[in-house]
Amino acid sequence: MTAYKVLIADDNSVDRKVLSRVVRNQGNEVIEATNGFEAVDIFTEHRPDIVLMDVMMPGLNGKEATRQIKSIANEDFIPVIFLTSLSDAQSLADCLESGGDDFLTKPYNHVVLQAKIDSYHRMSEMHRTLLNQRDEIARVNRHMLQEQRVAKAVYDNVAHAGCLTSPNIRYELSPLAVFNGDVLLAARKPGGGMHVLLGDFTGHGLPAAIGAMPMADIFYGMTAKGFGLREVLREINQKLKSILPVGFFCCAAAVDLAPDRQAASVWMGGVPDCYLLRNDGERIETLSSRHLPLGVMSADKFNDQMTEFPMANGDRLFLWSDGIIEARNSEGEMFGQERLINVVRDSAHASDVYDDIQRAVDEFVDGSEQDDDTTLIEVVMDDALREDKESAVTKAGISQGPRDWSMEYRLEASTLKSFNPVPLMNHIMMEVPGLRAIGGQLYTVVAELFSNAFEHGVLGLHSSMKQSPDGFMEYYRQREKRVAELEEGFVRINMHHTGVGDSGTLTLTLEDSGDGFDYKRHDREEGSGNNYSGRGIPLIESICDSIEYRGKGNEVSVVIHWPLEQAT
Amino acid sequence: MSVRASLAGNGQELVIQVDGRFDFSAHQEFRDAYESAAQVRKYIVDLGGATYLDSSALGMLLLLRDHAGGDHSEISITNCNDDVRKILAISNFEQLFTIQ
Amino acid sequence: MIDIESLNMLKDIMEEEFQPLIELYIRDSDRRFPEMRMALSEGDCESLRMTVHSLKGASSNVCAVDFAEQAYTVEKMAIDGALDQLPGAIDALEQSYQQVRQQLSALV
Repeated sequence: MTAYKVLIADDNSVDRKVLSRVVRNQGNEVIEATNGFEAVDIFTEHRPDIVLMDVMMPGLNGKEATRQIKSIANEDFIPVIFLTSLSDAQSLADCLESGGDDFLTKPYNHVVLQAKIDSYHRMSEMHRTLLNQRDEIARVNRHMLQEQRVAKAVYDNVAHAGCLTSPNIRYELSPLAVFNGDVLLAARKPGGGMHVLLGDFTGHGLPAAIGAMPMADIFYGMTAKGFGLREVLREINQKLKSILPVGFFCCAAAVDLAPDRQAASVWMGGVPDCYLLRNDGERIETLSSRHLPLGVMSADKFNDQMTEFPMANGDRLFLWSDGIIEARNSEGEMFGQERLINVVRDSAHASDVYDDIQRAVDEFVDGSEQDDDTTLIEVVMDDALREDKESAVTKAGISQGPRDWSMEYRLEASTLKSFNPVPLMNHIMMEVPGLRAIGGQLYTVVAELFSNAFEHGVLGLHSSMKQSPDGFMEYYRQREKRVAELEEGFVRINMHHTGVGDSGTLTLTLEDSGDGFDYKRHDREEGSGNNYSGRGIPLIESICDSIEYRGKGNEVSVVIHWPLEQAT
Repeated sequence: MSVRASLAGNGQELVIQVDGRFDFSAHQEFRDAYESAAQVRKYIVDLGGATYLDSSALGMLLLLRDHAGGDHSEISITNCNDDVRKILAISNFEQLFTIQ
Repeated sequence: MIDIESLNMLKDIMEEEFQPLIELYIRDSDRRFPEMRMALSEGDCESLRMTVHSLKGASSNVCAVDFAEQAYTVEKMAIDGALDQLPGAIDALEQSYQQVRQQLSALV
């Protein structure tokens, strides 16, 4: 049995003596007080583990002394057991109200007393454990908050506000929103216009914030280099897919503002409906999510298709994450899409909508806590977004990069068996800043041309085979077989570029060692499963200024002039 | 919130029923439901009793899909109420799952 | 008057402190009656009550159970302020005390 320090407060010396002996017999240390004042003083000085307090004492009585002692004990649990005669049972409720924990009646029963002392000691041990755990939790929590602050500082350096402070943008983003997974990015395009990205990562805390950094890095980096929004999204999707665990993703709405064409394109994946308000303040168009969130699809399945629509000066786009829709009032009701569209409809002027939305949400949630989630952005189309001639040259270096150059690769059979030159070609072309805006389409052209040259030309496969599902399987089976058996053949790739700073011409020529095909027949035939239509010519034609077949049809040359008439 | 799993279709299908709020609190149970079952050909997630779906539930469905073979998986999400259906539509999950 | 069995248990507990305890009780209790009469003469029922209360408690601890009961009756009178009954009750209580005193003295 452990030795406890027991304070016995009783004005009667006989009672004190008996109690003291009983308690000491049980291995405990005893300190005695003869009245209430003494009890409080002794308690303060010696801090016993448990107090046995006589109720009726002259001067400061037991109840009052107990009140004071409990106050001094503060957070610690020091049990106080009242000593009372049976006749005082009437006022027991009174006693316990002053903070006492139990009572012991006279004559003192040593068995009962020991049991009570042991029991209360167990209780105070438990209490101490609880306090320690609470303090430990508080310490760990403070540590975590500190780490979050550091993470936030790193994040702010990477995901700076970009051009969110442009006059054509109004936005609401709480400083700690990133820890709710909410991200807002905006960057001017080197050739004029703007990219805007609103992201909503799954989860909370650091896991939600972690994806935001590479996303911001890619967004700002690529936009500054002149890449199109489709390329940026593709790159972000791939990055997130590779770093986020399965089940984690980023719902996003991305906008490409093209003031020159008075148009905008959006890509939305997993975000609630957003609205486009025309400058007359009347017409409202709904923009809906058509894609899966970023980070879900693998690169080959990712759909970067954007929806384009006209956007005149003064037209405004409203984007938000689901934080606004799900904002709750004190009754637990959600704000909802209904209320949101009503606010937009009921506003007096188009320019009032932004403030009206904020006010409506504030009034709705009034009283309840959550505030970090209501991310909102208004983007207005404006002439000021057009290319700033002065800064464009210095900023993204459109005039930098290789202007006049040629490059030729000749790949023999042994190389063709295991090397795909398309990514390399793409990489070389992307060194030309002016070509980055159409990077995706260029990749498609090059991939198609090489595929034709290699599969139809060198391997001699007929694309008509790919028409039926079974044929499809057979085609690829054959392809694999012929690649393995390949001993002779080549593909020659020539790239030639000339440019004058804000425009340029790329000429791609591919020649293969195959038999070619009768390209002159194309003008007269519709594509219906012959070799020709299988070569994806219509697709190439839509991107290239011209396409020319030479020789047996085993040499093709395409010309691409940038900027394209229609970008992205 | 409760999760119940049962085999159907001659042991070829696993039916996972989720009732109540399908949110992060369902994480462990949902995972246990398909991880502890033997591999089946088809999965059916019955949301007839589900009142709500949040982004962590979407994440759990993606985890199931990954477990069931990713692109080769066969998963149906059935008995969705309007709210649930709407959430799945916004995220375009019909591109990954059969929604009935 | 005295619960001998309980007193023996007390003796086992107190050991060498048993005799000093009984002596203390007697010295203490002897004082109580003059105190009671003093308080009564001043009409101070509160002090009177506290004195009787104390005597009652100590007496029960030395196993003078009946005596303690009797003291409780006097205590209740003091609480009620029954000034007319108190003098007689105190006298009767003192008489009972003398018996208790005698019994205890004989044991040590």
